[in-house]
Amino acid sequence: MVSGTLLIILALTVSFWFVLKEYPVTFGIIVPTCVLRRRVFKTLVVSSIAAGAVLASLSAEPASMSSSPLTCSLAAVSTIITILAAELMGVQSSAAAAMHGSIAAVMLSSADESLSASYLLVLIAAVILTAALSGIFYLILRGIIRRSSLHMLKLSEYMRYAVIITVAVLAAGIGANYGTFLSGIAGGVISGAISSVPASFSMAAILVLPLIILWRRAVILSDITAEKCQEWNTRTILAIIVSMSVVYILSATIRGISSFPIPPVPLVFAGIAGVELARRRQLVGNARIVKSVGGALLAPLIAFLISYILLSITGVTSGDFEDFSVILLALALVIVIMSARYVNTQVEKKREMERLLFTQQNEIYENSRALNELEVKTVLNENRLLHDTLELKRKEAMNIALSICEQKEYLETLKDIADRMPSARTDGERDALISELQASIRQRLSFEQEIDSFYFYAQAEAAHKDFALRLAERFPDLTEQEKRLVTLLRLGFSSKYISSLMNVSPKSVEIGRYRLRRKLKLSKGDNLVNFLKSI
Amino acid sequence: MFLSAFDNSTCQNPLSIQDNFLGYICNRPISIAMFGRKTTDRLIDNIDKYFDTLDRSLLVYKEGVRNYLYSNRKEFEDNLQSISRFETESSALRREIENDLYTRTSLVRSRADIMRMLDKTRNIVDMLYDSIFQFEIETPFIPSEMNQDFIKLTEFAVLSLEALVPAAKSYFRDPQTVPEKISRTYYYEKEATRYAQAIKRTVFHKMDGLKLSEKFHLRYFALHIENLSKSAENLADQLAVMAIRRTL
Repeated sequence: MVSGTLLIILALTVSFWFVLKEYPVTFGIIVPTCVLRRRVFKTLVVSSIAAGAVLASLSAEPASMSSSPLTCSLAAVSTIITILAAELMGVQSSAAAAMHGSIAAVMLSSADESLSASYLLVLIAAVILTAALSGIFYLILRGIIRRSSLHMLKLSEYMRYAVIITVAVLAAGIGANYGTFLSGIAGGVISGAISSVPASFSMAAILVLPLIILWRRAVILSDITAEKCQEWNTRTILAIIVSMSVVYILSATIRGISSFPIPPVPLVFAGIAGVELARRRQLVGNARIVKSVGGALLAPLIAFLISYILLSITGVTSGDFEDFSVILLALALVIVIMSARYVNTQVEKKREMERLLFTQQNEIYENSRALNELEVKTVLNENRLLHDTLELKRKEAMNIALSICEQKEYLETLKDIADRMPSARTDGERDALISELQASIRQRLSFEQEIDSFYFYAQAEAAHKDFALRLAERFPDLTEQEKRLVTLLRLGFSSKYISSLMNVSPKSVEIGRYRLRRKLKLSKGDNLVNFLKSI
Repeated sequence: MFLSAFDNSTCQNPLSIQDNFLGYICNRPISIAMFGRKTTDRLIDNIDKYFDTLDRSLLVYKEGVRNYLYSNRKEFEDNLQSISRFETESSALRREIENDLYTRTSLVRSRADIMRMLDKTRNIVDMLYDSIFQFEIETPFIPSEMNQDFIKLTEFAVLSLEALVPAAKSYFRDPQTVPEKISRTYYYEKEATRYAQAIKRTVFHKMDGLKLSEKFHLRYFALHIENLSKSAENLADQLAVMAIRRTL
């Protein structure tokens, strides 16, 4: 019962591992071809895997690895430790290959020669064959396409059909391979437990159900792969999947190796390497290929070693579970610690990425906020400037208009006097008119000076409205003359110029400054102009 | 693990993978129907028809300019109607091709290139249409001694465009031959530029009897015909790049 449960758990582990780790890479490279709608793709892949698993399981003899709970536990433990260790090191591995390695150790320790050490050789051969075939297929496809002069659209259509058929064959091949392997591990247990259901269907269900349940997740992960190979053309992808299909067909048909699980991920990378050699162009990078292929090849080896060491430590290949509960508990603890470490690493990575994103977003936000503020300030300043300029211009225009009106009136007065001159009868009358004219002109001259000053003050006050208000608030007892003096001093004019503007003598300006200093309560050392500028 | 399979660098978007790529899934282009042989044949026919329309437009344009210069009014009117019809046809074909290309094919890498090429050819048809209608609307005064020069200029401009039609068709079947086919376009473009400059020189340096406005008018028309050859050169450059991308 215990061993049966463990075997089924092992089988499910392989399936879930396939869905989450191997399916996305294997079928993710097909996504960029956009040959099928997602639902159709899902139906095709799932049904092909199931069909392959059913067909293979029908021909294979369902067996159980061992009836010993201890050996099953040790196999499970070594598999899990291997794949966790690979995850922690960031190396691609395969649960099926690791499990096969553990089982090989169990068989070896129980002197069962059914599983030989040829598994590694089979894996290596599969990888090399895939690489060679993919390169050859790529060159053949390229040659055919170049010589055929087919229209691009027709060619695309034929390639599409080829990809669909190959995907079905590949999925069926993977289903058959894994189905045969799982059937050999746990088929006997399942057929014994559920006698109404044939073992083949149970194997197919074990393979397919996790895929259906976790389909969304698998699709998301396969889209990550698709992102990396978006630039690959359909020829490349077809060459890779055709070579993989051929390898799986061969493995299913050759006796003696049909029960060896061949993980698809190292075959994908082997296919990529083959196409890279044929194209003389890097698609992925040699380091990635070596890591992936090496990880898949090392997984069964490491699992074998762990399993063998554990079996050597326990010293027996069968026995009661409780006798070795301490050892098993210790191993379970190791697995828990490794799992916790793995989860911790993933969570930390995720947190780090979120922190990075948050920082970046913050920076962007701050920058855009500062930019917006600057823009608003600029616009406000511009508006203010334009408003002031407009105000000034308006007043200038008004003043000019007033001045013109006033000039016109004065000229009319002069004209009036001049018109009266010819009608003057006596010299006295004429002289009186001339005197009137002279007086008018004289008056005008002095008045214009005042107007100029007045105009000037008005302009200055308009330009420094705030200053006038502040001055009035702080020193309300200043007279109009004093306020004018303050304005002129603030503008930086000399006493001589101020006297001219105000129509007074320079001495009066000096006296005015002295009186101002007393009213503003300035001490001897204080500079009047600086003080006025500080208001 | 999957990132390490292809790239050891951390994911660009540190949000959860699900959040990050759900958007990617939702925004993916619609994938095509599984079987569509008739669609493919129809699309191929439409593309061929499109280029044939361009070819016919060029011939009609050449004839139209000749008829205008020799004051064959009736024939010129017929040419205007023909080119108007071709312009409408090519717009409708282009829309149909675009629709089929994006919804019915799986040419993910190439369809943007194809659409860009079709857009440029559509612009050329529009230029032919505008150019010949400008003759009709503005009725430029072209001295009879300049007729041959303008006809020659038009011929070179049209030849540069005509050389593109087989090049564009061979892009779909045999991209390796595209570079040799577009070499003629470059040659005719240079000749057209040379002729256009000669016409402008003649107009401004030798024809003192013409008013300045008439000289400008003539220069304007020579420039518009010359621009046809320049757009041919642009399209030839694009075809060359597209052919290289196909062979990669």
